[in-house]
Amino acid sequence: MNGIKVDALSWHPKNTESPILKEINFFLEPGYIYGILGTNGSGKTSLLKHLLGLLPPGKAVELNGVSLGKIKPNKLAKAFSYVPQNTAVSADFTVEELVMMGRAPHQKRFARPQKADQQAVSKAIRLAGLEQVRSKSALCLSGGEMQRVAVARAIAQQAEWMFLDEPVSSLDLGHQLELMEILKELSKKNQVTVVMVLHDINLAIHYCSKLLFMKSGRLYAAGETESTATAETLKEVYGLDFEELFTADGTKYMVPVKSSYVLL
Amino acid sequence: MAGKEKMFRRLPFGVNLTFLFILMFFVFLWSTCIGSAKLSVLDAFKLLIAKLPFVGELSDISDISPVYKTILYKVRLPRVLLAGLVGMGLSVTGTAFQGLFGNPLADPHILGVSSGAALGATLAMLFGGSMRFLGLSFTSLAAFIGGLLAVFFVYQIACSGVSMRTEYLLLTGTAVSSLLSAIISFLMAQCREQLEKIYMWTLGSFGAANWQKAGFLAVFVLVFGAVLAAMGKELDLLAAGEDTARTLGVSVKWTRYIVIFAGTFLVAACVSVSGVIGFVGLVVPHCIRLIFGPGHKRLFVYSMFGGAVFLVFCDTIARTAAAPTEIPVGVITAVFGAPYFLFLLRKSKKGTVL
Repeated sequence: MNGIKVDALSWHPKNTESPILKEINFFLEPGYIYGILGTNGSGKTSLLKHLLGLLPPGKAVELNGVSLGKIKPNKLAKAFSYVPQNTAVSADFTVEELVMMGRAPHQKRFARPQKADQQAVSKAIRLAGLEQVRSKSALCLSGGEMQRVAVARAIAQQAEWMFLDEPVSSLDLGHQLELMEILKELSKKNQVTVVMVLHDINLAIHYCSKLLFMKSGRLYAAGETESTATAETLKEVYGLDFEELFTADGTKYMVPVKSSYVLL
Repeated sequence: MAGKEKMFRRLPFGVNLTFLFILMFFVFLWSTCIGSAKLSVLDAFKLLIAKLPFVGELSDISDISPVYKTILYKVRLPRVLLAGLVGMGLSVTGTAFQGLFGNPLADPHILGVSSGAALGATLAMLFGGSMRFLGLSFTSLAAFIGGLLAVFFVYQIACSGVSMRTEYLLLTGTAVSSLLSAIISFLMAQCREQLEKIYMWTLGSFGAANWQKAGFLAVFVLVFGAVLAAMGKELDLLAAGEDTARTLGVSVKWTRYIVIFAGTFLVAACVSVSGVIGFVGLVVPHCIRLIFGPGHKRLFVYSMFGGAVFLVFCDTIARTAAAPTEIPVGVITAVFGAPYFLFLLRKSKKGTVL
């Protein structure tokens, strides 16, 4: 069956006291936007890196029935794209050159970029709103612009799955919503399955169709957004009381109740 | 960010290459002309052309005195070629190591190859031996093997740690280098009569250049230079971070193996024929990167030429400035390289040089 299967995933690195991931089981069907939520240190990023094959995969994670460890790096790169938390670059590349890196899995070692590569790069740059800075050096960009460069690179990679680790952490509100809209569009038009770690519960509720909640290394709850993001679940995960608020147009917001955190 | 600053980045690869090739040819020509016996530029040009394939027949060298022919073919040309090849090897490896470690302070010697080679050479000089192989002296052979062994140990120690992080490898290399240098100092202090010989060897010199050495090194520069140049794609992607590179299909483990393996053999070969020459492998890659941009595929080719030009220039100064004595070439590389590098660094304003 197509999708990512996680079967009894546990992870205990040698230099930590307790395991970081404990007995996690779930299945991700393609075609949705998934949000992974949880407090700091609950294992969100570790889980995401296991899904991507960035951490020793063992046999616990399978893509379309094949364990990640058995898939060649270049083949995996055509299936998975990744936007890391830290998007800093150590060299003086231009935005365009950085986005072109997303085409690496599709290019032969010594080949020059093909027309398809150029088109994918231009489209990704347009989608990410980077046309103004496309020939600027990466070292002159702001943190938010670098984050969008990383997103553009992942778009240019044209993989079926896109993994993002806190993609909005250094974006202002307008750019946060813009990025979410881009991901929504990619999911709808290009059938890209998006899996992202988020901190903003309401962004997750509004843009993700399914949510996974992590709590101290375990998968606490998972399922459809509507049925999973309840006040009870959020209280268990974040240790705060939540209340549902509705704006005039009927949009639901989950808001922490003040009395539950002022004395924390 | 003015257009002028990035001029060379926009020029086509072929134009830059032609420019660098012509520059290299003229530096080589200049270097073969000057010295205690002065050759005219025209004679040196004729003699050089005569050695080139295809066009060699066109050059008439019958009227040039045989003494000059001997000086040029037996003394100066091998020396110039050897210096050029060492410059190529060191700057290509410097480029690769800076890219691999994502660290502007990385140079070809950072993993301990040169300290290992120096210790090997020191031991060879102290205990003697007359084995020769491929035209290399016993000291050169011991240096070559010492360099390889040092990096092998550094790699083994770094791999046995909790996680194989690149900083760990750099720190291990630095620590092992210090340890080996301490052993050399100890040996030098114990055997005073050999002190000068050992010290001069560690400073580096092309005074003992010959065709065998140049030929030996040419093979290494060609083979391992090509291996490193083939890793350009991976090194570019590594600049975007290790995790990103991996999700773009790079096997970081294999990239590390291949770059370290090829770089170590290349530097060990350079050091074994010329001693430890600092600064070239650190600064030439930075200068080339600041002028021509960061893409490794081109960077490798440009820094090969840059390294050759720079080291031949420095060696020519080293053997002529205080003639008849020679200044250690490492002194000249620093004296000329440092100010130029600082000038480029100031000009580039951005503060980051990788």
